[in-house]
Amino acid sequence: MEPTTHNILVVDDSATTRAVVKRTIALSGAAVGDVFEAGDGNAALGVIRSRKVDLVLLDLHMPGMGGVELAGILHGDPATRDIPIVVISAEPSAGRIEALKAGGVRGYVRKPFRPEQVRDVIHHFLGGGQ
Amino acid sequence: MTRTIEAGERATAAPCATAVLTAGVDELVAGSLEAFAFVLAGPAELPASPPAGADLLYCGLPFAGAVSGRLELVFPTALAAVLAANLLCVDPGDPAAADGQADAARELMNVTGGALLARLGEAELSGTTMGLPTVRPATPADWRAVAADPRAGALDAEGHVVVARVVVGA
Repeated sequence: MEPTTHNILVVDDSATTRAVVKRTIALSGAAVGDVFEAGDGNAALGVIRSRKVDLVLLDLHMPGMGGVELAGILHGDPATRDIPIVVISAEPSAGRIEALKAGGVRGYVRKPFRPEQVRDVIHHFLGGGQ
Repeated sequence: MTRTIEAGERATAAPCATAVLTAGVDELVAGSLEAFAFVLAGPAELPASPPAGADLLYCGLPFAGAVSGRLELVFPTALAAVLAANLLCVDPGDPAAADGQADAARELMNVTGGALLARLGEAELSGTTMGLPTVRPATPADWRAVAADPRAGALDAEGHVVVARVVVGA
């Protein structure tokens, strides 16, 4: 039987950061299927509404629709509210992060991150730890 | 119970925030370079003028709210290529590094801005938000404007000099 794979959406306006996160995902050892990319919240919504997404790794500060607004939309929609959202951001305010978690965000990794932090998030939400 | 911060209190807090945010900006940037892109950096003399003939980048990051201002860096474009190369695990001469240099510089600003604002107490921080970084080609005048600030700092990042300052109240 084929192992169950999970799809991840990486939302960050930095193509470089998306590449770093994608490389970390590839090295995580988790059973990951597709890794989608989006450069802002609107592009992310397009992916989520057309593909199966099991985990969203979300930057906060982006041009256009930022991460806070996107998280609010996803959490407010019964069709998407159960998709785990983990913020990966340089946001320094613990209070602001706690407010996001109260609004449905499930985790937070502060930039600059170590690869094992992202790996641990993937294993926590998608399984597949070694 | 909540209360509104009065204008007088904010005026009293502003000089304190200025001292907290502007002190040791060179060390702050050095820490970000190492943690973010594995680039080692140390203190450098503050040069009044940029390296002759070097292509330069200006990077700015505004912040606003309880405390407002901006973080500014000017450094050779070649350093941005090193950042991108390290992040992407390619050679600095790789086309991907050249394509990613502005992007890497923006991320450096995000990371440094986050570390900068983390110096504020949570009360001020919760009312202060980072804007989006801007990166553009810089002129020698941009370099001189930063270097002339008495609170500016400089660092040597693997042979590339970076000048940096934080302007509070801008």
